[in-house]
Formats: sequence, structure tokens, C-alpha cells
Amino acid sequence: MSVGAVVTCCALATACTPEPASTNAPAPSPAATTPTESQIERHMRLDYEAAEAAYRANRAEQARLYQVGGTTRATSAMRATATDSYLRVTLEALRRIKKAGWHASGTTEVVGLVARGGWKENEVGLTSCEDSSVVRFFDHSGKDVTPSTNRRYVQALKVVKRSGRWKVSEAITAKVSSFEGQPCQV
Amino acid sequence: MPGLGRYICAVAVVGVLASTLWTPAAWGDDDGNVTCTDSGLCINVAKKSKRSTPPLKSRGSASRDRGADDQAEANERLSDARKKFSAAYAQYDRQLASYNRCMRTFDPSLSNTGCGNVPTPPTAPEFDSDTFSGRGNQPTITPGQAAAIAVARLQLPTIAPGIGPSPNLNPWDMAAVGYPLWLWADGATHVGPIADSVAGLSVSLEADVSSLTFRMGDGHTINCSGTGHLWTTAVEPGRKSPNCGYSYAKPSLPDDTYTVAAIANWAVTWTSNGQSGVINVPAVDTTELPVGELQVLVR
Repeated sequence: MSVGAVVTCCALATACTPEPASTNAPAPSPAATTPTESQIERHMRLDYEAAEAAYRANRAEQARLYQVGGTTRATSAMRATATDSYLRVTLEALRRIKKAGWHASGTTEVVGLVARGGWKENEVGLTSCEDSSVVRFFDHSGKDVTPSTNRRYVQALKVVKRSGRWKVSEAITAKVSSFEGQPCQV
Repeated sequence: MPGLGRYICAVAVVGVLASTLWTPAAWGDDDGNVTCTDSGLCINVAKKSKRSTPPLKSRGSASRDRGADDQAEANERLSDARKKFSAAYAQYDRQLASYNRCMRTFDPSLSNTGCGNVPTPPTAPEFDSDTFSGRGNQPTITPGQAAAIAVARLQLPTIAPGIGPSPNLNPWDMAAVGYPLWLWADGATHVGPIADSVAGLSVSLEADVSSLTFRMGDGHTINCSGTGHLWTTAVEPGRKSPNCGYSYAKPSLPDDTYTVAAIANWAVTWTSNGQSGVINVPAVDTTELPVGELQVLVR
């Protein structure tokens, strides 16, 4: 399910309207208002869509970097889509892969992604369910060195807008044995 | 569609409810906030003062991680600043090239609109070396960019058109058609050496007028190498300048004067961080020159 769909439904049902929508709302513009979507709802929807796009672009870049054997420096694609602790942690993991001479096969599956965690000007919350258990790691000799740790995560993501670009800023991880009943599971 | 909307909304509501059931114990391997990655590496992202030992790594690496975090953050800020500066500098470079083109072709007798104001270079990002230690602590701009900014600060003097003999030396207060005028750069033609510092880079500058162009106001242009020759009263009457002179063919009087423009090309030699180069800076100044005809009555 896309984030945009959830936002749209939230816009229809006031019961699940994300919190501080009214405090930082831009001035309404009659020209942009439609009977079904107010200016602020449109603003929120576009923000969530942009945040989701940034997150997915970052995931794709991470997957690419894992497969090529990590990196020691943040690529421009990483910097364009991530910042703060999220960038630091993901970069650190990729550095270790590089240092160890490992590379990955397979791609983390984003099982679900929902708009959750609130919205305010230049900051939105997303929750994603990521299954990295399908990602295998190999050392330089081709030996499978995949960690045995549980790598099914529910990530509470904070995505922020910096200098006009949406970037994943923070992720708080919960390891789960399955995604059954998790908030991002549809 | 309303049915679908209710379904999607219901899912979202369930999601929100489910999230409230999470307990701190469910969060990863640590008791704080952790971020886990594809490789299984989980790092505590709680406040640094409460940093605990991250899983999957030794205790001895904690300070290295903190250093790596700080460095990554520093590198990111540095990279952003460099990008912004590069974009601003590229725009400045284009504006300056356009301005210089205009200056070099400017003829006040054809256009009185001028070339506008000299473009202002962007401010170079300055970083505290304490913050940017190690790998990220590199000059944020190139020596060439630093030199261009230093040159823009230099405010080179304009060069007035030197024209001799001066019209003030004859009773008619005018230059004469057909009479050989000497042209030269009237003013300082050398500046420096001057030391400056831009974004932590030391820049040394030295400027000389390398060439002069005169727009004579009657549509003719005289290009002179060097700075021309000063005319003095010791010059034999009617003698031509050895390298930079002009004789008008038509008078401007009785109705007008010629606007003569001297366009000096300052060649500024810069040295910075082991590199050097030359930046050409045009400077324009004008003067009004009445030119008339002298007639001799022969009986």
C-alpha cells in the first residue's frame, strides 16, 4: 500500500488525521483547493509522497552499495536521501562491509510502508517493514558469511526536508520474528 | 471508492493501534533506540551521553564510532557547503565573463547603457579546523576560486585616458583634426604585491596593465600594447607616438565632443597553495574631447 493512499484516506476521516496539521499550515489558496482535498491535505499528501520516494531511493542505493561491496564514503545518492543518524549508521554498516571485503546478494524487501508518526512542516513519520533476511553476504573467497541474527525489522522512520530535499533522518528499529500484525502490514 | 477508502483507513487505524502495543523491550537488542541495517549491524542512536555499547562490535570501537559519526556528519556538511559554493561560484563566473565581454567591447559613443555593476563573488564557506579534523578538513574552495575572490576584493584603479597634447594647451581648447595625438594610461599601472586570505587559503596578487584599448568616440578603436607613451611638452610638434596614437579625421565641434574611453586590461598574477595563474580584469574610464578644425589663411 502506498503512503499516498493512507494519507488520502486520513484526509477523508478526521479520526486519523495526523496531529499538528493546523499549526504550521500554509495559507490556504482557493485555486489549489478541491472539494475532496483541502490545501493542507494536499500539502501533507505531497510531503508523504516525497518522503516515501526519498526512503525508497535510499533503500535502492543501499542495496546497490551492499552488492558492490560497501563504501567508505557516502555517495551523492546517499547524501541526497539521508542525513543525521540514519546516514551515519547506514554508512558505518557499509564501511564495515567494505573493510571486511564482503559483498551482498539479494535485496532487502520493503514488505510495507505506511504514513505513521505524524506530520509537521518539513518532517514526517513513516513506518516500514523491512525483511533483510533474504540478503546473503559473501567474503572475497565467495564463502557465505551471512550473519545469523534476525534481520526482520519494523523501522519507525523520521524523514525531514532539508534545503528543499526530503531525507531519512532517523530510524528506530524493532526486530520482529514475523510481520504478522505489525503496523506496516496490510 | 468509498468502500476502498474505508478499507484503507481501517488498515491505517489498525496500524496505529498496533503500534501503541509496542513496548521498549521489543526494540532491538539494546535498551535504547537502535537502528539496524541490512547486514544485521545495529547501532544505538540514543543521545550520545547515554551511548551504550552497540551490539556486534567490541567495546574498544565505541570512541572510533563516535569519531566516525562526527566525521561523517562533518563530511556531509562540508560537501553540502562545497556544492552550494560551487553552484554560486559557477553563476558568478558566468556573470563575470558576461560583464568582462561587455567591458571589452564597450563603446560609449555607441551605447550609454554601460555594463552594469561588477558581479559580486559568493562568500566562500569558512570552517573551524577544530570541527573539521582529519579527512574532511580540506580547503573548501580551489586556489583558483580563492584567487578570483581575492581579485574581486582588490578594487583595481580605473585608468583615465591620457591624451596629449591636451586641448587646454591651445587657445581654442580643442584637439585638432589631423594632428597626431599621443595616448597612454593615465594612472597607476602596477599594484602589489598584495597578500589576502580566502577560506583559509593564502593568496598573493600582483597586477599590471598589460594592454590598453581606446574607443576614440568617432567609431574607431586603437589597440595598444603596454601602457602607451606619455606626451610631454618636450615632444617635437607634430611627431607621432611611437606605439599608441591617433589622428582624428572629422571634427566633433561645433556641436559635440568625442567621448573617449580607455579600457585597461589588468593582468593579475596570483599564487596560492603552490598554484598560480593570471586573471584578466578590464577597467574602463572615459573623458570628453572636443575636436575641431584649424584653418590657415594664406594670402
